[in-house]
Amino acid sequence: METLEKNDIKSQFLDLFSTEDISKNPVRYKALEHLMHIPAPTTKDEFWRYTRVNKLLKKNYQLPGYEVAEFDQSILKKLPLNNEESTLVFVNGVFAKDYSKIVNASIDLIPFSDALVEQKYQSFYNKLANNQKRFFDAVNTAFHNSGYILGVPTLSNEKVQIIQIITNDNLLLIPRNLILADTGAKITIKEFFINQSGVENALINQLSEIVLMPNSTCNYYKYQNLSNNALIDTTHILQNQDSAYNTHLASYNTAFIRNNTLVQSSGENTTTTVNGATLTKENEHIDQHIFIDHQQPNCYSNQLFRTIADDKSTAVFNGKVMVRQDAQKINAFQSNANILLSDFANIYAKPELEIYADDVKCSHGSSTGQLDEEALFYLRARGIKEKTAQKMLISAFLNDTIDNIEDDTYTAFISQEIEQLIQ
Amino acid sequence: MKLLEVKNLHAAIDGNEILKGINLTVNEGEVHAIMGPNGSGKSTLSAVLAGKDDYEITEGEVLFKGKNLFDLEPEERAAEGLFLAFQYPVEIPGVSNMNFLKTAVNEIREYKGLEPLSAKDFIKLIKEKAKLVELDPKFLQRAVNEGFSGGEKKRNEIFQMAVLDPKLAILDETDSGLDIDALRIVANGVNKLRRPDNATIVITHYQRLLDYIVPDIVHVLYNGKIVKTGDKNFAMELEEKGYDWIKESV
Repeated sequence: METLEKNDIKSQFLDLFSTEDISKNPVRYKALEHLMHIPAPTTKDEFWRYTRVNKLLKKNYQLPGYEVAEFDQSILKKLPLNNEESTLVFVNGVFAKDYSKIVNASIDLIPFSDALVEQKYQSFYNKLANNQKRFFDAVNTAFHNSGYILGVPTLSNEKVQIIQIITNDNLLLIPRNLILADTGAKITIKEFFINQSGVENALINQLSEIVLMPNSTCNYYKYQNLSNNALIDTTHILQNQDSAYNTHLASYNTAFIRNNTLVQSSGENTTTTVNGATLTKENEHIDQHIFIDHQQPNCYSNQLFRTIADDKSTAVFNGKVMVRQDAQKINAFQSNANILLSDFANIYAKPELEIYADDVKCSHGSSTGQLDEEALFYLRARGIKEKTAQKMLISAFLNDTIDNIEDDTYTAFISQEIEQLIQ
Repeated sequence: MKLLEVKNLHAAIDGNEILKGINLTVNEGEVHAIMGPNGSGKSTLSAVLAGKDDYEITEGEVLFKGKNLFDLEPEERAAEGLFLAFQYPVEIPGVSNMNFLKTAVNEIREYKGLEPLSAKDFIKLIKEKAKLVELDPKFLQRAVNEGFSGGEKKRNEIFQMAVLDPKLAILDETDSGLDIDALRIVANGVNKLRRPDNATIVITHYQRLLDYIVPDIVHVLYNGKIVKTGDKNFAMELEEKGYDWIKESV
């Protein structure tokens, strides 16, 4: 194993981990070897042009312990949880058995373990993560210290809730998830990233690999509300024929978020919906990065992102659709609209289409502006206070993204939170 | 009682004077028509009264129920009972008509120091007023004006007027873009809302609407000033002769 130069920004970050443990597991060790050759991303990197991570990598972090930490349980009560759904709760990455439950024994829903992967999920594990090229993928593969495996058998329909609670300052949490929907199965996942009040400076680097077998469906709703902590969340999705992936990202009230939603459509007749609502305030920085790779014909994808940026915050949208030469009859749409509420906020929007097939229908639209003055005046002319009118327009704007969430309680919750956030 | 007193009102946009000394008094129980050729300042007058801040008031004053109108924000004017039916009603995606009206009704009640309406009373009010303008209640679940036809938008304006029950309603070119059936429905609605204690200003280019909403007083606005005032027959005369003779005689 090579050693790193001390002045490399990733050196301090990597010093946390004991390479001895890593070397026992060939997959982890291989990723670590890659990591030695991959520089941490900088703004010279096209995919990271508007998002700096060097400050995050320079901070001092602590790895999670082995015990379930005490936590303020009222934070669970605020979430729109359904008691009839299987639930995994993690506290600082440690599986909290007492708060978790499985309602259906025919599914696999378990904390991540290298052993289980070897027995049952070997042919799916680490096939989508790109450890050779992606820095945070390699970090995750080498050092993951939390996460879950979810396997849903053929033709079953399962709903699960995943809750990751942070209660330690400076925590370095690295969840690794593997999700497999077998032929004709349907999975709905609600994932909540939350922190105990006052906790700060944690860094989470999550990586999920999702494999959708033919005719299966995965709905993945991500709730990211982490106050003064940072989240880098990479989701690799492999879609086989006739499968559907629908995701919604609710990203707000968090110092730093970088989401990578990376879809490979490798079968015909797939459907992909990637929606998100971003709200940034103060000095927050939230970056939504989406890449949909259409490799096969007759598929549909749609991206709908709405962003509100206030104060000195920064929001980034970079949605890319690639249509390969053989992928004819693709319908791929992208809509991104952004509203700046302050003169000091920044929004970077970069919609991209890269098309090599000739018989496709693709569109992308992106706009950035202020709240619609005409609409604002119309509401005020009916007796609605300026502040209320602004709130109505902002929530209507963000709520545009939640229409296709198949969970009314969750939808209502997001909508309510958005309303509260725009006081 | 005097509802509205406009005294020597001058208003400009980007340094261009559009209103050049308007004088107008509207009493309770009256219907005024303001007519005039395109570009005479009709819509500017309604926008200035409703509180659109694109315009600069350079001279004069406006009293509404004795209060200085320009001291009030647009929402306060509305809460005091001023209503503008927009010439081009705005589409607001994501905000349902129901939520919009409920918020408006309750914010106005709050301004007046009243408790919010209960859900039951609100629905009752809405249903009753929807009938008045022959509106399908399904329409209430739709987003404000989104995808509405021209006629539906205008009907929605009058419906809002019915719900908010203003002291003074200003109808800005409400007849533009309406076919004859829609015009009849809209005018019927307005007539049913007439009371001895409220008033209406109908702004229009054509006399046609005034066959349905019969005015007490007709004004001609030309080049930023009211140049002639008469009774309802004056409107017919205008329709016959057109505006050119007015332009020549001023």
